[in-house]
Amino acid sequence: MATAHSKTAARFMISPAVVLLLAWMIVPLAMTIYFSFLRYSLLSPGEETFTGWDNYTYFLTDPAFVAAFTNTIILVVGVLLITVILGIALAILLDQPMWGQGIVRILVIAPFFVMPTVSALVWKNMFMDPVNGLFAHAAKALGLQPFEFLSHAPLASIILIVSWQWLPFATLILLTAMQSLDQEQLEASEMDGASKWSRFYYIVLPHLSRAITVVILIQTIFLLSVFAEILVTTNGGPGTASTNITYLVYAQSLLQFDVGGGSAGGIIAVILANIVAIFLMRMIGKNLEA
Amino acid sequence: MARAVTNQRKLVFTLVAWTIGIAIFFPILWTFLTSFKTEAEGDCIAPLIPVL
Repeated sequence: MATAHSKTAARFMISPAVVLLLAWMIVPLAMTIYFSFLRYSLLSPGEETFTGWDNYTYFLTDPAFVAAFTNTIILVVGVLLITVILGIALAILLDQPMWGQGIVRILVIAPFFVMPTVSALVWKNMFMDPVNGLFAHAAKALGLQPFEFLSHAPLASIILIVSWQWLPFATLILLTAMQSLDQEQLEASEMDGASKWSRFYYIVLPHLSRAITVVILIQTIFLLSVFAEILVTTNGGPGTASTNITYLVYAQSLLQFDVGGGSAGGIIAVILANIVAIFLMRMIGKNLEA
Repeated sequence: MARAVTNQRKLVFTLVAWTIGIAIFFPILWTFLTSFKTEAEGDCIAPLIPVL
């Protein structure tokens, strides 16, 4: 049994790790907050002045912010819809008896191990390129005009690329949940005359609800910060058609050399991400309660 | 006890799953095959398999 003395010793021994972790998180955050109140341009270093809330006002009233915010929501919701719906379908399919099941599972999971930058480059140059891309060759073979994906449907193209990367994650989580589903329940319902749809809706889907919640929560966190795919494929364009909040913060800081504005954008992004997290936990987090 | 599965049912699942699996894996396969091609070969559609 732990005594008060041993508890104090334990706290003392873990304190270096806790202090290090706190410093790791709090120092960058504190510096970002500090910079966000400065007029800090990389073009005039050493001339920083305090500006109060000006950077926040500027960032929030910038027309690009509304576009970036809308694009971020569309990107997150679009990818979530595609990955969750297809993930459920794939998980059910991969749970069925078949020849070469292990190999098929590896084929489906493989895209998750491709780095975002590589994946974006592959899709941009080898598939979506209107001259040399595979889709362009396929369109020409069918007598059609090649479609310029990244110019005419930039956000949809990015949603496609990101969905391809994240579908394996959703499938993997949902497949493990499917494997824990008691087959006798399904057989009993089948013997009672339940249709395939009823079995899916009343047995499979409720069983998957917790896994779906995990997929949505984890993916949302990562999808709010999608950056490499946008930088590599469209650079946020045309105009702001595919700019999300993360890319806007980058553009403000490093393309317009406005560290103060970029820092204010970063803090706004953190606040927005927390608001989304609170909503998500309220709406679907109850599924995680034991 | 696990339910018996007919071969026909298993074949259907196998075909559908392999088709989808290959479709999802295709970009990686295509990248791998293109890595063996010359720049000129990479710009055109044929040949699918690089000529060694």
